[in-house]
Amino acid sequence: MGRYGRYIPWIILGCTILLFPLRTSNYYLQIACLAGIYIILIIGYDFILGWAGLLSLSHAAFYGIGAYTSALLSVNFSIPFWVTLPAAAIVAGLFGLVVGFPTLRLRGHYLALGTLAFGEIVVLVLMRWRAVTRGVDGVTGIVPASFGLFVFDNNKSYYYLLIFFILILAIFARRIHQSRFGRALIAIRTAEVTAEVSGIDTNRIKLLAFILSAVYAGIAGSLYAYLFRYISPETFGLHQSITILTMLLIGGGGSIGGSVLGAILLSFLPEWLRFLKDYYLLLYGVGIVLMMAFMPDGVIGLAKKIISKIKFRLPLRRNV
Amino acid sequence: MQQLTQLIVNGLTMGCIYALIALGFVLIYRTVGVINFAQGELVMLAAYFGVTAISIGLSLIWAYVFVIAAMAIFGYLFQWMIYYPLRGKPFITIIISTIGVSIILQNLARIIWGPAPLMFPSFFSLKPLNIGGVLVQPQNIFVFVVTVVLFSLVYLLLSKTMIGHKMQAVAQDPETAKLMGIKVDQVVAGVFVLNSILAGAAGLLLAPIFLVTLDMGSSVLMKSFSASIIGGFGSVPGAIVGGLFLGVVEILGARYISSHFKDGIAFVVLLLVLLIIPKGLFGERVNERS
Amino acid sequence: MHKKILIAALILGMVLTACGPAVQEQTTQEIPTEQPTQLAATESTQATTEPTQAATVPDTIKIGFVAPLTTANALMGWSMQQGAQLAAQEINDAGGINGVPLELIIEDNSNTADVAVNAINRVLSENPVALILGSTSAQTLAMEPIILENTLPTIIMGSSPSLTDQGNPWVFATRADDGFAATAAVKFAVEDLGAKKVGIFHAAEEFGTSVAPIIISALAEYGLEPAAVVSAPSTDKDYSAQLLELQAADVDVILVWVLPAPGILLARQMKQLGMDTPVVANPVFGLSQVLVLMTPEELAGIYSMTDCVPSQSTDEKILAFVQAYKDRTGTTPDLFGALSYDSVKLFADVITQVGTDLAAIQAGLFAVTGWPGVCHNYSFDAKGRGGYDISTVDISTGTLKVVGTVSK
Repeated sequence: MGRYGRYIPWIILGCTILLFPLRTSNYYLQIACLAGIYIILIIGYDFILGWAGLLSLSHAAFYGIGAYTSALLSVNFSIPFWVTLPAAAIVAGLFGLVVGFPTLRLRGHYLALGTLAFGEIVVLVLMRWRAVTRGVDGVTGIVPASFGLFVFDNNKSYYYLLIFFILILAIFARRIHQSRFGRALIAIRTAEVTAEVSGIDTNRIKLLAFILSAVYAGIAGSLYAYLFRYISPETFGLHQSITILTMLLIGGGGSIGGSVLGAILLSFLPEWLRFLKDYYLLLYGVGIVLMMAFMPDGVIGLAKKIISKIKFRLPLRRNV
Repeated sequence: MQQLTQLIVNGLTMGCIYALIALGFVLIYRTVGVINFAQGELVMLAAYFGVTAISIGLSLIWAYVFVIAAMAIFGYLFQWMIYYPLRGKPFITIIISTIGVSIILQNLARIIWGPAPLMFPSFFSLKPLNIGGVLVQPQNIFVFVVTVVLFSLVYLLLSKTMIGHKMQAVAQDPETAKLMGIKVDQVVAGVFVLNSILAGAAGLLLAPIFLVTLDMGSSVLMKSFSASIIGGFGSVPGAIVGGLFLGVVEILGARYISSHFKDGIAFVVLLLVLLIIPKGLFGERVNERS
Repeated sequence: MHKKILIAALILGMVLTACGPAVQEQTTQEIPTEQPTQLAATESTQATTEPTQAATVPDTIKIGFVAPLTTANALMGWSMQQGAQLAAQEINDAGGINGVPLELIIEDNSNTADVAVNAINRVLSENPVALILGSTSAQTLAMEPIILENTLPTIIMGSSPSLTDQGNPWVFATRADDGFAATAAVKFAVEDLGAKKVGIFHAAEEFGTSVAPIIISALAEYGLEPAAVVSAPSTDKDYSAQLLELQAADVDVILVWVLPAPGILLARQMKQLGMDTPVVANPVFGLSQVLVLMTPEELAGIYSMTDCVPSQSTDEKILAFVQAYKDRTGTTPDLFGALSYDSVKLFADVITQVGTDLAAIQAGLFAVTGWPGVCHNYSFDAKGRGGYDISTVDISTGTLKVVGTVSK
């Protein structure tokens, strides 16, 4: 292997991802786009669960807040995509601040339930505040996202738009993980009291992580609204938060690779199982149980284990 | 005034139901520090077992026996297949596994028993009793009595018996418990079996009131969960107090504020309680485990 | 070691479930095996979606079918699936469409918009010439842009007026819309039951909440305002707060828009609270699975507004359908089974006449006038609504008794 040999798998992977839309049906492209949105959601959720170790069940609510912000701005005021997307991020982030400030005092399961309650209240407001949110009918007629003269009105172009956002957000997340802030998060997760004693303002750090995750969810929500061009409140309920939680844990918390793998795997799994007809959701449940039994640290945990084994063996073979 | 009394009585009944479902997972949580997201499906499964027992010609009392026995076996299998392979893993891993189980059971029940609601009989007639102008269902009184009895038994078991102390020891520190000669695996298995039996009792009691449907357990699970959090998670008296409190507040809120926000009322109450008393009414005796 | 046992147990569990439906005939997906008169016919009725197999049988006419076969609305989806499969079977037994077998591509939408969109895309990848949607309004709205993009003639069984108000010329509805049904319900409540103070009880979900304003505007036609409007989420099990609010408002008729299980609980809890106010409800009380669970006291004073009651018809053709449906499923058909059956038959009829060109099928549907189905006589208007009949059913005797019908 040459000096750049280790990049070869990544180059192949990159090409596969870039060329995927050219070789596939609209059906798989749509699932891939939805998986892309989940990737952003889960990278964001990882800040709070994987890094800070806090179980929050309101992620879908921030997702919804982002989606509604974008959709309503677009439909009511014809504001273009590149303005509504940051607006969605900001509004979701503000909600993150308002919700996180009081609830992050709670611990463990109390935090889980407190955030769950907030999430359910958000869905109820989306359903009931007809004058603003258009109620249960949802928001129709969202104009496609466009940038300059280019309109992202089909799944193929949208796929590349999503890749662009995923790259930016993943790189940003990685920078954060490697920063002082990221190390502080790990410190909180592993030993909160010690972290506090060693001078980390744990409450501030936790709140920042919470806001950050809400901002990611807001962006994902906005991208969701422009992908489907129709949104309704029931998409953003508790079941969605539980899906997000499951995806992260199946992929493996605490790493971007895990977030990506979990989102892709669980987006495609139920669709792959559709040939089983009546049994497909049953087998999906079986799949989750088996994956947790065999990969308790997620797909990424298993992958790391395998890689470290290979690395361990290789020099041995050379010696022989 | 009469209407207010009626509302409070009905609210207390719902409260009992929340508490009854909460009892099982408070027990699981106390011992192994895991939230069981499949608890609602256990309740549902028990009711469907009951329907099957009746349909093969068992009398109601034997149907109860059959269901409790079946649930005890199921509880053992559940811990053996789901919890045991994952013991010692972070609680969140096990939570995901229980989410998987709930998906499995939901779909299994739909495939086996079909999507239509089913009926399960009660020992009592559906005719309400008129007590001073307030109408009460005999079955609801039965639920109330059984709930109180089950709570007392579990409370006594935990606080007064050797098994209870062992469970407490396992909950606090499984390693030390093992060193002290406690058979941790057996205690844990026992707790799962007991939990399953309690869920079975809940399913049998609720089936005549709720009908037997796929969502009969899961639809009240989050409320039960909220109830136990309001009471103080992990506390047995907390679960019943939290349940009754939530049941009454919810029904009064739905009647005098707005029924359109009935679910919201429960969650607003939950948030308020958490923000004022972050550990619930009865606090938490078990240390947080991660 | 332990994990191996776990796998073995899970696989065993799966095998057991796979055997389960043999006992529970009604839950099987497969069509009961009949003597195959045509090899191709049986093959296509198996509703194969395996692409390789579809490729070997290229000459089938494919109709997509997306409905909630799992989760909260599974009962409705089940009836729809039975109706559609029955129709497909009959068509194929009679030699298919112009000799070409009909194939249904059945997919579940899991009752969520995201999965619904995946399901429709999967169906589209099989190149169907028509589509039937049994989804609720939010899911249908999420799918409408895709239908428009693919110019696919689609029959929906949703009743929300917003579905046909989108200006999508490819969407046709076989069910009477909520506006029509609500007006009929209000008319019956006011004119026949003499209602002065009307209460409204609706499901908090989308399908119930969207009906409430329609009922209120229908009441306004009579110069009435609702005395009380209450709602309950379908996961709610205790309605005493809502019912006592209606009682306190002294209502003389309650208009009810709910799902099956809540409908039964509502009727029961009314009696438990000593309320005998007449109820005029959406089609839930027309479902045979609902009626069998109700006692005579609970049934008293309940009326249901439904598109059709096939079992009460005197038409021989409709009674033949009722019998065939009973033979197949063991239950009497409800409006969902009937609508779904009609939708498949209607498509087959149009395709027989105009061929498989999408635009021709669309034009063919618009040209349909007075097509006699099981549920309605269909004629599609400019919006694509085709069935305008609402029957009022009195269920107090435990059977469905039609006491009036409103048609357009």
